[in-house]
Amino acid sequence: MSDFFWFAAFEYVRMKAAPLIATAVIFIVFTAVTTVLVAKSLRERDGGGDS
Amino acid sequence: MNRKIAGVGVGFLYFYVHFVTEILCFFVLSRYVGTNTDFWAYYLFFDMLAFVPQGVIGYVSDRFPKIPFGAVGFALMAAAIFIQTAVPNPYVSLAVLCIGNACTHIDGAEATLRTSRGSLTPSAIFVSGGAFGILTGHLISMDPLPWWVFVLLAASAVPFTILGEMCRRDSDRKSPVPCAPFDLAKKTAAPVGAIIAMVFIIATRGYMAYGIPMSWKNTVWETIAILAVMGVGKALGGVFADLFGARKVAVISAAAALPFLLFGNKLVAVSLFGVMLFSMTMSITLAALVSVLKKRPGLAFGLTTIGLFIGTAPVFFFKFTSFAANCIMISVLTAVCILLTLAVMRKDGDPNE
Repeated sequence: MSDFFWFAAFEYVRMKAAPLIATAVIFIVFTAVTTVLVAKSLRERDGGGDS
Repeated sequence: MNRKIAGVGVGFLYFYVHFVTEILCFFVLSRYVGTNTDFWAYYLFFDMLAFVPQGVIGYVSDRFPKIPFGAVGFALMAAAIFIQTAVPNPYVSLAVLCIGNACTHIDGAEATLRTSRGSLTPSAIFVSGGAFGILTGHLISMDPLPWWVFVLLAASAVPFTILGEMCRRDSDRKSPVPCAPFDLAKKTAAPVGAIIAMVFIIATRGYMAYGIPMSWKNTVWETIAILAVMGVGKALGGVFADLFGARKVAVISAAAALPFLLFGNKLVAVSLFGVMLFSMTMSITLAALVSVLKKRPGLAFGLTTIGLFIGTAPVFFFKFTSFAANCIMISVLTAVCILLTLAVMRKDGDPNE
């Protein structure tokens, strides 16, 4: 019973939760980096900086 | 005038590139459909990894224009087809496919925006190619073709990207800031506010698209009809914006779409016309973002795809199921989008001071 519970829990995490968590983490990382790049671009724009 | 026509030519080059990109993605994704109950998770993962990294990839493309993102994208998508048969974990091939998809999208956005001299038509033509690609993917999936056909299809699009990149470099040589003619955002509006407003509009319209009442939609052919009118609407949005003014077209198309969407629940033609009007704002929001980030058109395009993902991701977990709730949601969000458009975009024809 216990073995089955842990197997089922592991399978659930592997099949359902892991892809969702990975998706959420990748989304947060890329969105954060993009926000930084937008802020940098706006600063350059206002300062008349690089081309 | 000639350079504007050249810009439209680049739009058609990338119409094909976008068309092929979506067919390849549909082919790889459709192999996971069937009895697989985790398909929705693959789809969510695909949407995220194809859409969200485009901001970062766009920024890299802005800074390093010599990288041939189009060819790299098709090489990655062709590799994803092989990986799919060799590696059992679907997320590996999907990740490669997504990055390839993002690369070709950024390549198309860069080339069409930089060569258009402020015209919206080229990027609208490029964007509309995606709807026709998904449509064709649907048709092909009815009678699946062998994998090598899709590899050849990927190869067929590479010369188009090379030609498009040559046009982009030519445009970059002629003008230090090729996107400088884009001037849709009010100068008096705070740039951060304008960006947030545009991303919000894209996200809400992405979510709204899934709430449009369509009880008539039951067959593949009806889905294909929706995709076709979406493609036509996206292309016409850019053409009309150039002819009549972007702000006017954005506001009128959003307002005019509303009754057709609400009363088209059982009337195919009425609903399809509403979807066509609804799709017209796509290139206008992109051009408004480019007006704020003139030196970073790739990054601006990436913001539109992040907005699209933010809008479509909730649909995987939550949807309004009642007709009345959908109608209220669509009406309220349309009003908010129109108000934001009026607040952020400059009046057509007026000097932007």
